Amino acid sequence: MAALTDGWLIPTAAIAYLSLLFGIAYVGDRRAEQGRSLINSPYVYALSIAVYCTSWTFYGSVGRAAQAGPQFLPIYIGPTLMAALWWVVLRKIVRIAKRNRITSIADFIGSRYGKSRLLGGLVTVIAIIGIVPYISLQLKAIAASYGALTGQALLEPQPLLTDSAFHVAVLLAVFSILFGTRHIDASEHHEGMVAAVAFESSVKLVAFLAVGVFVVYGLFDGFGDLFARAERHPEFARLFTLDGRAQISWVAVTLLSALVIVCLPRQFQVAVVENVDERHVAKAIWLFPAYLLAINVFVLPIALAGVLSLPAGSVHPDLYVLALPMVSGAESMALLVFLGGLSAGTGMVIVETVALSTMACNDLIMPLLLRWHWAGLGRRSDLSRLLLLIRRLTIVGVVMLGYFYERLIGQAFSLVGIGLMSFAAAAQFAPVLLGGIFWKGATRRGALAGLSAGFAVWAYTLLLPSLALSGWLPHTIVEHGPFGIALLRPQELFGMSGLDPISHALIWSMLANVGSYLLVSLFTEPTDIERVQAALFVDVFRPAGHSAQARAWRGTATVSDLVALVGRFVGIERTQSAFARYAQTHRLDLASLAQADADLVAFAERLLAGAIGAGSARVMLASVVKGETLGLSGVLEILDEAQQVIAYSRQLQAKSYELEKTSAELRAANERLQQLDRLKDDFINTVTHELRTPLTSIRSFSEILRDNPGLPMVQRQEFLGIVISESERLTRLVNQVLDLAKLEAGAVQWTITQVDMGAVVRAAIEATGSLFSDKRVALVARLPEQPLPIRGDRDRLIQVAINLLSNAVKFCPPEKGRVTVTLEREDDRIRLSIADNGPGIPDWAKDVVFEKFLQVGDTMTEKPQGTGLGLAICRHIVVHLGGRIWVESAAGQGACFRIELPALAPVAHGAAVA
Amino acid sequence: MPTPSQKSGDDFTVVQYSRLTRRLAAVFVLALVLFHPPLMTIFGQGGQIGGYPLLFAYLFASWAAVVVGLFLAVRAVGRDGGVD
Repeated sequence: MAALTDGWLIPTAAIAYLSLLFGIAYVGDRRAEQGRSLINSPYVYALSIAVYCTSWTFYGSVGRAAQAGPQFLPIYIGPTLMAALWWVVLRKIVRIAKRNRITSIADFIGSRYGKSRLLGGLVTVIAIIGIVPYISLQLKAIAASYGALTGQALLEPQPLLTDSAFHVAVLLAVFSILFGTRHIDASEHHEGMVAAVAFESSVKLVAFLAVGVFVVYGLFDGFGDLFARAERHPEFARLFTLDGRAQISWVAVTLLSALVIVCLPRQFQVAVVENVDERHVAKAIWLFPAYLLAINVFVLPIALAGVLSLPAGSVHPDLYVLALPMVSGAESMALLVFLGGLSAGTGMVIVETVALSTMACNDLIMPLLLRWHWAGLGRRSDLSRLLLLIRRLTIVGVVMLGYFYERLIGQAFSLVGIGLMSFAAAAQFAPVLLGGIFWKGATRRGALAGLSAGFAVWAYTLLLPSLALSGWLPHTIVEHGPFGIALLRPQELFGMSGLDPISHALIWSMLANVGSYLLVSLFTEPTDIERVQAALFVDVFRPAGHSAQARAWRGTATVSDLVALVGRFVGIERTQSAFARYAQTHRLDLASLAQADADLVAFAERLLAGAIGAGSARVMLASVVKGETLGLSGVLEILDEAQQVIAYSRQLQAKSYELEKTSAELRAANERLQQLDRLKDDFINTVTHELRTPLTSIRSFSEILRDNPGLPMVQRQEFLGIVISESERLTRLVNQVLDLAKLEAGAVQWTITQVDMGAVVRAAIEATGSLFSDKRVALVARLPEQPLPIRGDRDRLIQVAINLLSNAVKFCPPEKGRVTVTLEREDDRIRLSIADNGPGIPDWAKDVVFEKFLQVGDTMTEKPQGTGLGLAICRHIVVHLGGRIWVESAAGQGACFRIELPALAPVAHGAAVA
Repeated sequence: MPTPSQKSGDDFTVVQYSRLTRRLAAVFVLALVLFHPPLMTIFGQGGQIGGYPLLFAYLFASWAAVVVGLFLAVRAVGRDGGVD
């Protein structure tokens, strides 16, 4: 043993190994930052879940097997059973956690029940009290294995500074801080830590299998030889049986371990929080049980080898794994075992303390700081350093609590005994956790009642006796009950005797826990926020139309407030890049968006929840979001029990409605086609008619001129004048027909620029000036001085104005005619009104005047005064430019044609076209 | 038959999801039966089989069977469903 016992070999090996782990974690973090994740593999995921196997497995299982035979197994059979349900349970938890940026099991439970900070805090307190013994177990195991290797006796407590368990505690606290709290991650991922833990899981499996093979095939001649020799000792027969009472304990521990495989804070951390891909769960379903099977194959053989070859009482059964290679002189094997045990212990302590520190920081300390020192917290600009400090102190605190528990209380217990006590504490989370994801009716008060009751019974039936057994409380409490009341004996509560303490505690605590949870939930009403969260959690797989979370925020906040708030906790650079990514994926321009919408507020809440937990995030956000936080209608929308069915039938309804709509659209399109066909025929008829009228008169007058050469000069001049004006009319008609055809076909080249509407109207007035003076019609123009810019085609707009002006002149009575042109700005629109005092337009014709070839007035008796295309062209142009045109009129009181076009913001320096 | 309650917003189909769930549930029930009384009572009475303690031979064989069952259930869906 000389090489191992003296000198610095073992501490050096241990520190070198931990440094290697840290190297792996460092690379893992770097790769995560570069986006090339090391842990994006179902195998790494399954290995990281194997952090479940701690020193308890590595050393304690053999000890348990040596004393109680098969009783070491249910701790692994429970998780195997649970793994079959992971697809339903764990996958749902993972999905919920990702959606809501859950950071720990306390955060999960607190969030589920209305983002309750009280509940999150309670879970944290229970977790810390319950898990401290479990951490002490690891310290004890590592220190004991170190002591066994170096030959130090551990029985009497050493002074603090020379106690190797204390050194181990300090070392583990330092490494946990290095692994878990180097920086604050908004998503609370520790990829490096997961990579290191997965590596550790491989090491402990390899080490245990190696020592197993060494013992079975090196020290003995295989399994057959080992079991044959054990057969010769009848006192070992009890190790191969499971009698009636042991069966109750078997079932209880199976149930317990099935529950804690997701409820232990570190299991929740690796299986849920650190999960990078939901699909990894599928493969872990068989990989993880396979790992458990493999690491247990050699447990009983090693235990048998220990009791067969080591003198009774010389070595504690918990240390058989280490003692067997040591007594055979296989020092390198012993060192490998030590490193395997170190892996098992450190992996557990690192993940557990990181998980607990996140919980303590987010769900216990931050809410308290927010409440008590809000003013002081509000002044600090960067809180991420404060968060890190809190977490580091928590890690040190938890590890030190573990150390003192081991030093003051844990000496009296075996590894498995301590571990099961922690299991029973963590199992108290199971009802509220599982109930929370499947039962919408569970309320916050129900969860509080269930957890408190379960924890109280746990403390009374397990913690209290453990304190009594280690001499911190009078032992009579356990033996005769408090104040001598036998019915209240902690380990035989209400006379339930004949059970081992764990089964006894499990039965009573679960009865109290589940009972209170169900009853109080059934008899209390959830608040609005609880209902929203319940729906979010239970219905996480339901495809959501809107984000229900976003609906919970009805108020508004400014984007800069949000960035500043989140930045204080997460770091301003990370926050800005997170917001930028959000803006990119949602096609938002954050710079121009002053008020954040509900979705953005919900996004900020999730970001913040990643750093400080859901409960605190909500409070923080409420400080910047103004307005009603939750609309009742929104709640009712989410809640409706029958909503799923309704949604489904609505979908069906929508589909059939859609079908109806489509066929109606088809019918309409068909009708429209037929109508267009008729219109085309009408158009051709009208055009040919309109063409024939001037042609006929031109032909008639030309014939008169040809056949009557003796006509007086005055008459010839008059007839020729008619021929010319009719030709002009013909030309105009042809031009307009072509124009309209081009407009309708969309073949017109638009020259869209910024145009001053005032200039357009002035140009039109100038162009139609002669019409007014010819007919002696008065023109009143009310045009504003400042430019009224719009976007449009200048020539086309002038064409519209000319058309309307000449129309107005046409219908004005000569001499007394009066046309009023008004141009004004109304909000964001520019309105041009051209009113005449002609005969006006009857109601029925107000729409149809804009149709082609429609002229109001009796065409039989009155000579048509235009082509009938002008207004149709005007309407085309105005509509194309985004405006509208209509006419207001009462018969006999003149008509007023109005155009509205969207205005541009007025330009200060008169850049408008003059 | 897929019903609305089995809908999921994933890239797997509803049918594959429910088939996986049903297979896993079957393995779960099998494991429940194998690892609990009364079967445990029968094998917990001691004795040997082929030189091995009967109870441990039974437990580890059952355990291996359950792991293989889980593997087959997950693999079948992985093959047609794209679980890697």
